Amino acid sequence: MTEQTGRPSPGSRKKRHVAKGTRIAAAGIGTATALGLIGVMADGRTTDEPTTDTQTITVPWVDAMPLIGHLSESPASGVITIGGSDTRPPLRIVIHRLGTDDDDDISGRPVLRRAPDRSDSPRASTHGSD
Amino acid sequence: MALNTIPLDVPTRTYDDAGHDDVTEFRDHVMASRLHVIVHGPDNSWAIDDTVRYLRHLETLWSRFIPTSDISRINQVAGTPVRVSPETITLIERMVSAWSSTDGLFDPTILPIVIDHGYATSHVDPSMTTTLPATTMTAARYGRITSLADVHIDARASTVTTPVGMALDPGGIGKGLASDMAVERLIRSGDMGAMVSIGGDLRMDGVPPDSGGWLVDIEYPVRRREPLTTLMVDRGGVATSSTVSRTWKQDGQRCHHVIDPATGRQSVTDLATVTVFARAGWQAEAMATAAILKGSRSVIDHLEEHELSGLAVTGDGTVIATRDIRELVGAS
Repeated sequence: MTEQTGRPSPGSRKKRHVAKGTRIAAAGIGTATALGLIGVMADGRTTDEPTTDTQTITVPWVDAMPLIGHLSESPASGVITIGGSDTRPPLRIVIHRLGTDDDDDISGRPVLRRAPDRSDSPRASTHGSD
Repeated sequence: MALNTIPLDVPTRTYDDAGHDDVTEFRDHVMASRLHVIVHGPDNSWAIDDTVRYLRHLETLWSRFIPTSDISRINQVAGTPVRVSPETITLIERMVSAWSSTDGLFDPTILPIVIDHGYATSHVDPSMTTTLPATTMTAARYGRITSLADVHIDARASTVTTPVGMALDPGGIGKGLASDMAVERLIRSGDMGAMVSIGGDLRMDGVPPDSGGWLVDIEYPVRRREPLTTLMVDRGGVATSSTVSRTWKQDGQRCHHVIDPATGRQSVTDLATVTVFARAGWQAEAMATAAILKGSRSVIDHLEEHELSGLAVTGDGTVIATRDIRELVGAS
């Protein structure tokens, strides 16, 4: 750990758009509250409330709107997008499972899968470890 | 020294009206290591600048080569309470947890031994050297009698007191924890998903750009054109410990930084690398640091006992892995 502090150097950046997630059934909001919510994006703003696994939110107009959800395959996290109209932008809910990183117990593995033969997604590397 | 040199509150950000999910990659250097960031979310240019600033802030707190860092100040006045930042409180709490969980195989108090083996000066900036009190070096040479169990952490007062004769080294856990903190900060600020790698010690969380998970190339000990394998990880930490990187010569002998706390000497493990998948970066890095000491005969059993995934490469190039990874890659 020796790198000097200072202004972030320009570094190298690469930016790309990605396809939206898989469309899921309208029951997504139930899944969201069960997993715990940390971010609710509505009307173009983000609420950044401290959260816990049991936090829930009230979205009064949800019942009256069609639900179109985007949820990753992972049970750990996902994004749900709800409707929108001519006068109201879509509600986006970002879901994260919380509460596992602060444990003293060092045991426990993530879910691993075989990588696809081809993928344009950016990838991480273990190169550079010591 | 000011404890908070950058704003630690996290401003919120907005999604664009079209709801585009941008993915940005960024590469730089921090903590004497390569930095790689992948951010999945809106307006990520601000987020990446903030991440680099935050990681450099952590470096000023944790580097043993910076005399004013929290770690250096703790090491200079062992036996006396030292006021430190909340991040350093977390670091030392994680050190104690990892030391306890690994039955002492991960031991951040071996710094005087590392220095005695010739790793006092930064490999990146030779003008930066770790200096410890003579009493601490003497205590280490005559057999360490201090234990992490004797470290007193007062989170309310934000102070740490180490026993006289002890020195702490964030190596083996600091980069993983810094990755954890940076990813959590990115997600708190509104990103859907983020991956931060510091020197190949990774943390990833949130929604990955690829719906199946975060893609991670597992490299050979000496990097080749193609990785050893590529896996998808839903979330968590990945870290590698190695006896073939960060080496130096002393008295004509090649030295590495993996010290066996049981002997106080450079480890004689037959493993070149161990890569561990865990729930968080600090857990992966600490367990990799501990597991490489086990050698090829028991490293996999050790990981399975801790319900961790991982693979190891021996000095002769043989690859061994936990059962789940063997099943994924089709190995016997």
